[in-house]
Amino acid sequence: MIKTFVVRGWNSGINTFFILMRVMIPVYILITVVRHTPLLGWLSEIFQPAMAFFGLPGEAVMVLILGQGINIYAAVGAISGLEMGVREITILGGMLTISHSLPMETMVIRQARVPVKGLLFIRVGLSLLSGVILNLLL
Amino acid sequence: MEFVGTIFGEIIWGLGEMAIKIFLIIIPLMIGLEILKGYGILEKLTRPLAPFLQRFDLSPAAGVPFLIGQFLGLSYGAGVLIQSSREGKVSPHEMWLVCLFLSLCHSLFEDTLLFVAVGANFFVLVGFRLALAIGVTLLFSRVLLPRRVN
Repeated sequence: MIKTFVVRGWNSGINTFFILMRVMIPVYILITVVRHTPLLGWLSEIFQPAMAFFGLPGEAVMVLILGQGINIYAAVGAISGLEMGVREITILGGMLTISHSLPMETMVIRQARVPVKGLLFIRVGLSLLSGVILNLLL
Repeated sequence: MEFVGTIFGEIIWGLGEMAIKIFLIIIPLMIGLEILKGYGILEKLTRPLAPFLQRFDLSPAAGVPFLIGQFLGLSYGAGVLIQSSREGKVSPHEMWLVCLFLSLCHSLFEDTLLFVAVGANFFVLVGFRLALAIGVTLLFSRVLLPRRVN
């Protein structure tokens, strides 16, 4: 009996592995190439003034962009390079735990045949709103 | 040219590392899950969740993708999300609600601890995220997108 379960698990594991790879490889290549272009820098310049809504210094924009576009590790790496207090880091943490790794996670959810447009909109919207709320509360 | 070569190398190494890591996690995970499922243990584990899920108008079957996604995150939990959706035990409407909750709140402790490590407040992050996910999922399941009554 256990053999059947192991075989079944192996098969669905291999299946999932290939589904994930099909999604992750293009996203990973895209992200790596974009990271070597000035695109993220331009985005930072555009959105820098908006950081005031969240009570964050202008440089924090890069943390948000890295977190949303790449992943939490990239964002946390960027935080360690900036001088910020508990309050600012908690606001960034709140915004980024709610919404992060958007290209990767959105594509993965899509594989489960769940419509993602609305989810993406809700997620990003609530992340921004959370920044404003945490700035008022903390 | 050297620049292109650097990116190319970075992509190859990065992808290789990612593929190996995912393979090593996903295979034992899916085998373990099938064993738990086969002996009916997974059902027992998700049963206590039923009253919680019911508040979001979710059936007990939605507990499996919910629990796995919550603890393993969206990528490693993807196999279970995909399976649940294909098997049809969980309706598309329920899958959307599960994914709404999970996209706002998954790997709760792991994600939070990464920020705590660089100085964030643990309790604020966990409390805020959990409250937001519960509140928003309730709002959508009860008010904005309730299941149509036949």
